[in-house]
Amino acid sequence: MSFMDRAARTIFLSELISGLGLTFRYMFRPKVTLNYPYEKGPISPRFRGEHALRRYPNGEERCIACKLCEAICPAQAITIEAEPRADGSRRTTRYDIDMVKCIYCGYCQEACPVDAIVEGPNFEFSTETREELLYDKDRLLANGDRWESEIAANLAAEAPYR
Amino acid sequence: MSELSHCARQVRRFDNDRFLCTLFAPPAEREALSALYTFNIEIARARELVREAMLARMRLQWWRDVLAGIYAGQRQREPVAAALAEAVMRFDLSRGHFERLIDGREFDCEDRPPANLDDLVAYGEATAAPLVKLSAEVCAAREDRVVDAAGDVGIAWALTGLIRAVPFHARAKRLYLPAALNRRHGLDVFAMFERGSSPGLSSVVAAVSARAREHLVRARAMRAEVPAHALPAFLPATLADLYLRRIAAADYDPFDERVRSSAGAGRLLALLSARLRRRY
Repeated sequence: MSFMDRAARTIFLSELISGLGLTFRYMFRPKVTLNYPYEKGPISPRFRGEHALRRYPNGEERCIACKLCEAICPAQAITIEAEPRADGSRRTTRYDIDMVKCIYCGYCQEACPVDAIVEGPNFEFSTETREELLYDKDRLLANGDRWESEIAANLAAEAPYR
Repeated sequence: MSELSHCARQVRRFDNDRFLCTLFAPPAEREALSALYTFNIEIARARELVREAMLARMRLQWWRDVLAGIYAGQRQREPVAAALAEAVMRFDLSRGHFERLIDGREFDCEDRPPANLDDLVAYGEATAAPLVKLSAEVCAAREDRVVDAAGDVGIAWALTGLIRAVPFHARAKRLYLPAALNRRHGLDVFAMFERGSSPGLSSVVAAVSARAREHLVRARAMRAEVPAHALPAFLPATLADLYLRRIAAADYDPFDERVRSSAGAGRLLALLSARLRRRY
């Protein structure tokens, strides 16, 4: 009996047809792949991507040159130099991050008492040369201006008790 | 109509209940209250924003240094600190209350639940009571009886808020319900972290909210002593009452949707009627 069964399957190509049917069915299902540069997968609000220096809504930069991020950085990727400005406030004159050294642990943003340095949602910052990955303050502030709306939205985890 | 200040915007976003309370204060006091509440948000968020407790301690220490600077009369540049400095100078706020707020938040960094209900109340007393006392100072109410009432309002608000925050804290595997009560009522903490509502949870929450209710009643007993112009500082009591009733209506289950949602229009009505009757 089993011989008949097997012979019938061979003759009518039933396995082949059911296999093709499976393939054919997927043509009418929603695609699971993404058309990458144009479509992107969802990322967590806690995603730690490219760094950015933020500003207050009045345009003043947040960073107060306390150097806590420089101290906490386990890869020693951050270099800060600071001096008082003409109006008496302490600001950084130099804020460099070596993105090649950075291990994206996120300690810098956790240590920052004024939420100035953050790791934003951007993960597309590949470059052609290594030098382009040595970020300076202007680059970081520009990142902040570019990503501010996303960053601000991601920072809002709201507890009912304060 | 002018735009909201930086502090007011922060409070509206991160502490909406207290933001509504500030709206009942005159403009100058409203700014000072916003500054206080933003300061509170900053130290309350310290533990939430970091993975290592040490980093939260660094943030708290930074705020201690800012306070020292403010009371030494240094000019502050950071907007929150500047607003706080202005409030301190203008309304002559006591430094001790600020210190207690920050010290109270040190408990957040220890990552263990309070041992018993009294410990939880002590935590509430350190993290919320000084804030209500400071807002009472802003509203020019400094009599001893008023300060006592403010302390009770703070504790009631803290306990209510901590019950409402159980799901939020559970997400981070943190717990503020007293360990002794959990043991007595057989609450399996880890099951609660994973699955939400668990047997025993409602008994624990009922005990905590009964204590909150006690403090609320005590604060309201002193209602006659509180002058009408200090009402904005005491309005959290009205909201605590509202939330406690919702918690009771949800059978003391903090994971119930009625507890988790902010009260919406009910909140505004409660505050308005409190303002019209001039009693919290």
